[in-house]
Amino acid sequence: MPDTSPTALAFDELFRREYPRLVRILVVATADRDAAADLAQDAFVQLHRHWDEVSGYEDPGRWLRRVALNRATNHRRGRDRRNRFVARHGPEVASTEAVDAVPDLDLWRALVELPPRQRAVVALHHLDDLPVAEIALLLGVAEGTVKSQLHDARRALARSYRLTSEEER
Amino acid sequence: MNDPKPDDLTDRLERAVPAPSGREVDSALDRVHAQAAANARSRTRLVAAAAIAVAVLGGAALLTALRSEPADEVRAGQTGDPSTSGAPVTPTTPPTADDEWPEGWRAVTTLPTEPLASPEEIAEARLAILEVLGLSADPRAIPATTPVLLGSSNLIPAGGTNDAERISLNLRADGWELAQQITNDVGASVRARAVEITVGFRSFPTGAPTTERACPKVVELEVPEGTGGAPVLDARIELDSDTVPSGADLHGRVIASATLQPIEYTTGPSEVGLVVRRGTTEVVGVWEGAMPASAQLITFTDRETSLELVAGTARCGPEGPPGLVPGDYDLVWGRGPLDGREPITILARAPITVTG
Repeated sequence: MPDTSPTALAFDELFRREYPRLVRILVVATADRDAAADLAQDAFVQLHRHWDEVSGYEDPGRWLRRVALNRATNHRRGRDRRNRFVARHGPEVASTEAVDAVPDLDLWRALVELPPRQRAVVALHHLDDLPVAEIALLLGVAEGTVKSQLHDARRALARSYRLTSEEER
Repeated sequence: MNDPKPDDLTDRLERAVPAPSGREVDSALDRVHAQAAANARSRTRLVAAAAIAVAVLGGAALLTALRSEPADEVRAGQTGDPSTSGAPVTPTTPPTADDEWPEGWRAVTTLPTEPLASPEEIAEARLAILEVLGLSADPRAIPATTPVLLGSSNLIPAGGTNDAERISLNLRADGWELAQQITNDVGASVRARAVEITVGFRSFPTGAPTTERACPKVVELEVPEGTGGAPVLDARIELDSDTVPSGADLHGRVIASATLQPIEYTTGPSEVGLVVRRGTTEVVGVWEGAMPASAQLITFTDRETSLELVAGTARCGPEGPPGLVPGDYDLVWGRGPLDGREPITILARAPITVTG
């Protein structure tokens, strides 16, 4: 029987609001749609466990993004490890990079060339509409670092598929 | 700040990354609730198991282990977030000799305070451990032991499956930093749930004793009357090096001869020495590797016989860090069982220095 307590309803409400945004950020950050859904789910399971505490935060969504992006980092390490395994021992463990059958394949091809942290910054800024200061807080880095990563990412993307060069304005 | 966003990039990303449909969101929410409920049930079972164990084992030591085992690694400003292996792990250090240890401990088992690891997490942890240990990931090529890895269980998937619940590693007493490295690579949360590590006779990262390992008793040789003052077995130790890093092994030879009459002696593949405080019979260090099985019958005669000798510098007894504190000690070798049933008679002694 579904839990209809105010606490449970508040969690569900936050889930419906944040899940789509989180999945989209993770899709860009990981370049892996399946992994993005799994990572988002894991982050919400963690949120559920700590809900009594985190629900009192000013912005539980920030906590959620941080957990999810940390998990994305772990996921990337694991994938790198599997790839090294494949390189040494053969093809029994396949790469999970999955960017085919996605709209705007040119964009994806350019995105996957970016370092993971730059992809995360691009996703947070362009999809989640977060300002640089908020991204810096979220990722635990200086604002200047976020600015330079955004700049480098845009320049690389523009070079790759001729973006309009508004970022130079 | 001026924070321009190129509309073209934003628009293209918006189109390239479609949002999940309402049905997908509902389905994901159901999965989250189901997973959260399963995790809660798992935690309940663990708490019940811990309660039973507390009752059976007498409680204090186990509670200490449970309290000190970090369930979650928390990054600064990120309260309650267990998934932060992207951040550096808070360094843990071996307990000092001055630490107080719970009395009456015995076979302390560190119970996981998190849900059990998933098969995928076990598989990831396994690959990370092999990488840290510098071992091939090919199961057919993984050796059972290395100089620092004294033993393990579930490190090699049984039958090619990953259904083991925990990986256990027994590291030599100088393996504390290696254990930390494994934790850094695996992630503290997964390490706590999926990988059980002992360093010497200590549990990582709590430093609690893992099994009761009393220091063997040794006594000086008393020359029987009527032997003319000569020892019945004249032995000396020759070491490859008399200096050893704390926790590492010493290797060398025992060279012995019988002075009065031939002496029969059953030996193992190698002899095991013990470390005592300099000039005393107080044993402080032992070898934590597998005890060599007795196998060969040696007859000592008046001609010198050489036997391989190995000795460890893992700290025995319930107190202190995994390895011996740096300083001057003696390595002794003698006759007698190492199981503590009766004292071992010292037949040879050599000075050694343990370094940090």
